[in-house]
This record gives sequence, C-alpha cells and structure tokens, in this order.
Amino acid sequence: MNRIIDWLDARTGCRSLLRTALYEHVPGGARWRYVWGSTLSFAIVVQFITGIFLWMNYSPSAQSAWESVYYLNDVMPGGWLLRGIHHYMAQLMVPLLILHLMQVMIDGAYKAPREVNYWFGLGLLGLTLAISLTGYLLPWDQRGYWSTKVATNLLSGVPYIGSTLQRLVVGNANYGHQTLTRFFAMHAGVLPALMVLMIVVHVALFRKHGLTPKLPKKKPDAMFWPDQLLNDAIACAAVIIAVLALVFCFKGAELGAPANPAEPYSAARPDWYFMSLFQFLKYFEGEKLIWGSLIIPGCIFLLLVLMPVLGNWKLGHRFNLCVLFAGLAGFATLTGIAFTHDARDSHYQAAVSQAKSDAERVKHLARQNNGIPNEGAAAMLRNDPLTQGPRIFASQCASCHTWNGHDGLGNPLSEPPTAADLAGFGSRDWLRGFLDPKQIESLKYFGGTAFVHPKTGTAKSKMVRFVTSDVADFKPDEKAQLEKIITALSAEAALPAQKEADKRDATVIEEGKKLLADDALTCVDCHRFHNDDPTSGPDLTGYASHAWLLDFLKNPAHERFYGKKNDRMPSFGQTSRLTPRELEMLAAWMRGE
Amino acid sequence: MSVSPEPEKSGADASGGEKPPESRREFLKSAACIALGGACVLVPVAAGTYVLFDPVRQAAGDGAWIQLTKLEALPVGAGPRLFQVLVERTDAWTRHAKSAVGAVFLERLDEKTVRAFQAACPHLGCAVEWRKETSRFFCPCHNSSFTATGEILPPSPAARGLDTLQVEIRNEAEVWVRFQDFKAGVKEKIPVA
Repeated sequence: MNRIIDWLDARTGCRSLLRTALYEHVPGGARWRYVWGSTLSFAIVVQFITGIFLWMNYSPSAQSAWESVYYLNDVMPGGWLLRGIHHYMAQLMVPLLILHLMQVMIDGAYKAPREVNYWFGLGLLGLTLAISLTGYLLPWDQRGYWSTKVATNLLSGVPYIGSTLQRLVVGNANYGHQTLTRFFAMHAGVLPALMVLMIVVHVALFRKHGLTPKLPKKKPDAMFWPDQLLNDAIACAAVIIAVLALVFCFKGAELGAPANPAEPYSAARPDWYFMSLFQFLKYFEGEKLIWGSLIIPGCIFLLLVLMPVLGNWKLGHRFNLCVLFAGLAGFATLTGIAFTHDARDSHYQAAVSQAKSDAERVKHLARQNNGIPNEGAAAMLRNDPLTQGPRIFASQCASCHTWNGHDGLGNPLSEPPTAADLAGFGSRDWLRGFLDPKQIESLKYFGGTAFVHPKTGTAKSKMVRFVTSDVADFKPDEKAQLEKIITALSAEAALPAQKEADKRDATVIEEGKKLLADDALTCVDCHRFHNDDPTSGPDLTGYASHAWLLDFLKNPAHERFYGKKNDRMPSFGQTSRLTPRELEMLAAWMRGE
Repeated sequence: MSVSPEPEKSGADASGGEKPPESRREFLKSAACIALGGACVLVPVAAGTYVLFDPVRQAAGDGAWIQLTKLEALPVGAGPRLFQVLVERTDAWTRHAKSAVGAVFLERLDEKTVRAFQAACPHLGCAVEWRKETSRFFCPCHNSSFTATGEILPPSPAARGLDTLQVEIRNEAEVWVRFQDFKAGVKEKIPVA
C-alpha cells in the first residue's frame, strides 16, 4: 500500500496536498463554535450527491416534470428518501448559514484583513437562496408553481430592465417548458458551478488568514486534523440525523398536485425562510411594492456588505452586532406573524386541505390507471369528478345549497343557505331526514325555500304539509311502511355507497316498491313511480340515480320535476352555464361515484 | 495514515518524548473522524445508489402476445414483411395506449404457418433489413448476413442467427406474435424484456 502511495506521491505530491488540507492550525484548540462552516460544506456535498441522483430521474418539461418527480417519489423504492434528504437538507441549510454568519460576526472574523472572504461568504448566502428558489419550482406542483410565479413577478419590478429580466428567466411571457429548462439549468448547473468556485476562494482565503480565535483562548493550540475535524464530524452527524428525522417524520418531501395555471391555488406560500419576505410584502401597497421587494431588502444586504468597513469604527463592531440581531429578530418576527396568520385563517386552512386531497387524488389516479396519460397529470385532475365536483358545486350550487354545512370545498357560506344540504342526497339517511316532520322545515332541507316560505297569501307546498301533518300523525304500522318506502326509494338511486346495503335488503326494497306503487301512503297521488300518470311533484322513478340527477340538473323546471313550482333552481343544461362534461362530473361526485 | 504534520506546526504538545496514551488518543480521534465522516457521506450515497439500481431489480418480462396483422396481408411466397410492434405500455410514468417497442419480420410459409423474426440484429441490436435481390437479411451496422430462414451466414460478426418469435394464428385469420427482446452478442437466446 505504502509503495503505491509513494509512487502516487512522487507524481502528484498527494501527501503534501493532504497535509496542507488537514494540518490547519487551530489557535486556542478545537471548539464547537467553529463547526458551522464545515457543516455547511457537508450540507453542500450532500446536496450535490443527492442532486445528481435526482437528476438521473428528473425530466424538465411542463408535461413531465411533476410526473417524473411523482414516479421517483411514489413509485421507485427509496425515491422518497433520496428526495427527502435533498429537500430537508435544503431547509436546514438556512439555519446553518445563519449560525455560521452569527459566529463570524460575533468573533469578528469579518473584519480586516478578512473582508473579501466575508463578502464571498455573503455571495454564497445569496447563491444558496437562489438555488433554493430555483429548486422550489422544479417539481412543478401547485405550490412551487404559484410561489415562484410571485418571485418572478417581483423580478419584473426591477427598474428599466425588469420585464426583460423576467422574460429571460421565465423563458417566455408565460410559464412553460422553457421556464423549467432554464430553472433546471440554473439550479443544477450554473449556480452550483458558481458555488463551487466561490467556495474554493472562500476556503483558500480562510486558509490564507487562518482561523479567527474566540478570545480569550481557553486551551492550547491544536490541529484541524483530527481535533477540530472530530467536532466537525460529530456536528455533521447531528445534521444528517436531523435531516433523516425530518424525512421519516414527514414521510419524505411533499409533492402537491401538478401545476395548473387555470386552477387558482389559495395555499401558495414560499418555503419557510422566505415567509418573512412574503409577510413583509403585505405592508406595501400598490406601486410601493418595490420598496418591500427590492429597496429595503437591498439596503439590508448592502448594510451587511458594508459591515467590515463599519466595523473599523470605535463602536462599529457593536453596531454591526446590533444590526445583525435586530435583523434576525425581524426575520423571526415576520416569519412568526406569517405562520400565525395562516394558522388562524380558515380559508387558508381549507385551501391547504384541498391541496392535500388534490395531491392524494392525482397520485391515486396515477396508480389506478397504471401510469399517467400523455396529456399529463393535470389533465387527469381536470377530468376527475371527485376533484371537479366540489369545485363546480362551490361555484354554481353553494350560493343556495350546502354540502355537509359548507360550500363543498370546506369553506363556510357567507349567508344562510336557501336550499337543501345535498351531502348524501338520495341516501336512506337523507330521505329519512327529509320525511321527518321535525327536519323538513329546517335549513338542511326545505327551510330556506319557497316551499316553506311561500309568497304571501299562498300555502306551504303540499310536500311540506304532508310531512308536517300527515307523517307526524302516522301510526306505528304506517311508520314501518314509510321506512320500507324510504329503503325502496333510496335503492332507486343505486348509490355506490349503499350497494351492499341494497343487496342485503332486497326483500325490503321489493316490499317498499310495492307499497309505493300501490299508493299505500299516498305518495303516487302527486309523484310518478314507474308509470306515466300526470303528476304535480318530481318523478320518483329512478330517483337520485345518475340519469335522474343529470336530467334534473339540466332542467329542474321540466314537468317531470318541479315544473312551474321550481324555486329559483337554474336550468344548467338549458343555459350552458355548465358544459355536459361538467354536469356529468357534478352528478358523479354528488352521488359518490 | 502515512501523513504526519510538519514538525514546526505540531505545536503545543510536541514535547518530543513518545507518549503511547497520547498517540492512542490521536489514533482513536482520527479513526472516529474517518468513521463518522464516512458514515455521514454514506447516507446520501446509499439512498442515491439504491434508487439508481432500481432497473437492475426489475424482473425481465416474459413477452406480450400482440396481434400484428391478418393472414390475408401475408400472401404465401411474398417473402418477409416488416411490421411495427405497437403496444399498450407504461414507460416509467407515462401510460401509452400505443407505444412502438420494436419491429418484426413476418413471412407466410404455407396456408397455416407464419414465421416471425425479431428485427433486432442478435449481434448488437441494429435493425436488420430484408434484401430481396439476394434473398438475405442484412445488418447495415456491422454487416452480419442471415439466410431467409434466419441462419447466420459467414463471415458475420453475429454470434447467433436471427431470433425467432412464437407465432399463433387465432380465429383462423389473426396473426399473433409473442414479442420479446433478447440479449445481444451471445450465442444463446436469452430473453431480456
């Protein structure tokens, strides 16, 4: 072994190189406060290693970026771990950078003759944030898409060249394939290369001037190898353990639903370390935006740059420390305000849970279909009843109806509902409640409608009167008949959720059907049930089934349904307010198909 | 390690005398550094390598049966005809209804017999062509030649003749082929996908 090393050493001088690398003088002995630079170097090494492996699985185009990340994260064994390490190490790099900066500032390592090295450090801080920002977009999920859009719009605020700069970065006027190819080249090529160059200079300058010891020295001088390096290695181990803990705790990095420019995303937030800036921007109205986005952050950065010069004054060092701690306090306060505000905002919370369920849904569809169609994952969600149903309900139905008390998307209604709650429409429970004298006049059913509150001078609807007086006086045997009719009527809907129950109660359903057809409880006096008799109430044949619901949504004022008695319900199929596909999706979602 | 600090830099505790406990401490520290540092770097390397080797862990498929044409498209005596193989396939994340995976030469031998050759050269996988004028299959990459029955014609660099594929005539008219790829460059016909 030694002979090989001798041979190599004679040709490369590897021994002296290694000696130079390892035997750095550490005045005052090894200390924990010196570990931050090494932990950052280690973090960068981890990001390079994981980044290159991620690169092997990533496809930077608007139609395949999310899909390739999904495949890595959710299909390839171990992919979630690899991506998780990369993601959470990026999260941890920010506190590590802050700790490194604090140590440098407190120990006075930024002052002459180390100013240039300090400036390189600030450059590396900026580069790290730029790499984080460009990386945030790459999964092409809703969160990354909408947050980065804000960032590039801020770029357009740069005086004179803003719009050109934005177009250059985005690759076009709109986000698309070229945004991803450009961001990816910056994230994985240009910025890391710059970072390596700057680290080389940063470390070389550090070695040139040596370590700035924390005074007074408490121990005799030592060597970087192995004394300080052991401390550094323990700190690095702590960092990787923390990263792994985060990865396992959160089961890898989040991957939201695929980016969809047509689907506004109310949960758009930058990564946590930009939340302070995000909050800061809220305080600048209209044209003053540039103050919050560029001028003030620019001045703060300029102040950091000038600190070595300021540090030469008598009270300069103390001033610098005050500025640093005030800055950090501001960063922490703004971040805290932003998170507290979000935690208390029910609309934001609803958007977050909607985003989570969209993400789960699209992954479920990809698994179920054994892959993603050529049009991409966003198209799968666009055509999915479970995803679009609640959105259509919220925009078209929730001005009158509710869904389990909310608007279908989890948001409360601004005004009390004026029509029935449609969650579980057609189910046994829903019908039982509807035919309950105590409930029919509640807001859950007809309480907000003209059937209960008719125009002055007219009576309540026949149905309301029937339930509140006739049903209320039902004898036990009639109540038993009503229960059978409810079971039979609900079976007309053929709801997927009741498939098993309908199968089990086939006999009861037959009895109920017969009772209905024989007019046992006078239902068919007003309603049709598998016949063509002229009637005044909605047809009960196939009640709440897919076809029934679709026809009803198209035209509730049809003589088969409410006819002239229709209370404000729009005829969606007649007015083209909803396309046939949207009506299909709404009906399918309402029925839980 | 055969590297030692420069004497003038060995600093504070270089008192000259040999101190076994001291050097043992140094050794333990160095060993701990290397072990801990190595373990730290091993984490991302291991995670990445595990993902990288995913294709190696995938089992080779046993070939899918595909209908390529109908008997009427293959007159007896017309010689081999090339057919594209389009299958329903999931390529990593994308589900293709029809995805091109290769090509097959089909030749009708008699009323009920059809012969199928994989169009990939068994040498190194280039696409073989049928040369009517010489009645031979020829690989334009490295000049391997094969007879109409797929046997290798010397001098050819290929290690084996053309790969035959299983054929079935279903419903008396449909020509179905079990499409497979085989390992290139070896004498044996080993399925790879």
